[in-house]
Amino acid sequence: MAVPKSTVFEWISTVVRLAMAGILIFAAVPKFQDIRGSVRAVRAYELLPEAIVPAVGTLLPVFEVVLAVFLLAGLFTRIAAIVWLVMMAAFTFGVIMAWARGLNIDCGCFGGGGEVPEGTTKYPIHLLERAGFIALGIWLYLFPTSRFSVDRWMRATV
Amino acid sequence: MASKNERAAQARAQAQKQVAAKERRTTVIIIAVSLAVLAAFAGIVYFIVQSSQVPDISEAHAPAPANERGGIPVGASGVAGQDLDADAIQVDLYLDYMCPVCKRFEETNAADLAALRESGDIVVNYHPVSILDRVSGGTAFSTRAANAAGVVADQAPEAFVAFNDGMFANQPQEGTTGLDDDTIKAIAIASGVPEDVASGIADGEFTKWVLAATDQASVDGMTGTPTVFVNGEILDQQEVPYFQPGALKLYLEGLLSGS
Repeated sequence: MAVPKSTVFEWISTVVRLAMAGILIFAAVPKFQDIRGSVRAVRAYELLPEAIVPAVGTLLPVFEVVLAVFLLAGLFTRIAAIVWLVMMAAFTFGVIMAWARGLNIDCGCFGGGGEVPEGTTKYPIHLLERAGFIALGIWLYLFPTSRFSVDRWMRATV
Repeated sequence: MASKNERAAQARAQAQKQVAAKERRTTVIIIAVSLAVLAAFAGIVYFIVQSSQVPDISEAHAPAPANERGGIPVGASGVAGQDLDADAIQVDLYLDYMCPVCKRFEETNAADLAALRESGDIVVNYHPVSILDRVSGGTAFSTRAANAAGVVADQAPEAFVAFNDGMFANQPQEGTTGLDDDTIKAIAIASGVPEDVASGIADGEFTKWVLAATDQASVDGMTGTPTVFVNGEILDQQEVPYFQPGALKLYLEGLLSGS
């Protein structure tokens, strides 16, 4: 008995969607626990004007939670995937710039990463991580239909 | 005819389903927009509340010898805030008392810096910052320790350097609850702080100053600890490998001789 390709894709999309929601929550919680550290982390990348650094650092976890809620519910999934991809592009750009400029973001006791032996960098791993996240977003953009989603309920004509 | 009635009934049913679907979509959009607006509002309130928690360093109640960048200067006499030679090289140290890398920095350089300081060649500005509260199991050890340093600098400045050394000598492990208030008090007393001053440490008089100073440190370019500035310029470990014994001393002596 052949399983329809559409159903397999829908199940994969469901897993991807929930994984993305989980990743966002996982990223947001530590920021809420040390919100000043989140602001310092944004500042350390030296990309945004100081005037908006505190706002971005403080509101970033709020934004992450809101996006996670949409992904969890499966609401406006394709739009959520686009928002995710824009976020990932921005973070990836940030990591690349920091690496290129030789910023010592992970040196010593950083407010985000704990002790790191001097000389080691974690940039390659960060970028690999970002690539994985971008892959998830692209999948969900291409195949936004998933099971147990509000999108599905909205379109149901049965 | 029956089939015509059937078709009509089917068409009506179909139309009703489409209307129902459209109503669902409208309901969902209204709920989603309401939630988004609520979230935006909550976010703004959250931001305003957070911003009000930490004063600007220029407005915070600071220890007497502290400067406007959150540093506690120590000169040749070893008493915080005294005997500060304007011509001396300014060495700024940003340290978190829970940071093991900072402890290593102190072990490597404290004696050299003390010698240069006592000869009047350098002034050491200690910046106790708090960036590691999250690894002290909710006890906010970094903040408590930095506040303690502030209290000692304010009311027992002659014991400040000894207290700083004592805190690093007794440094707790990251991930533990850190040192409790009684232990910090004991370290203070052992460093020469009068008992009544040491008892007041736990009141947290300079807690807001610690947060303001940490924020100021971040604005001034501290991204992690330890961070070292010499005459206002951040020291790059690639140029001055200050975890190698003697490297920092050599660099500072080089500046003194004008090379």
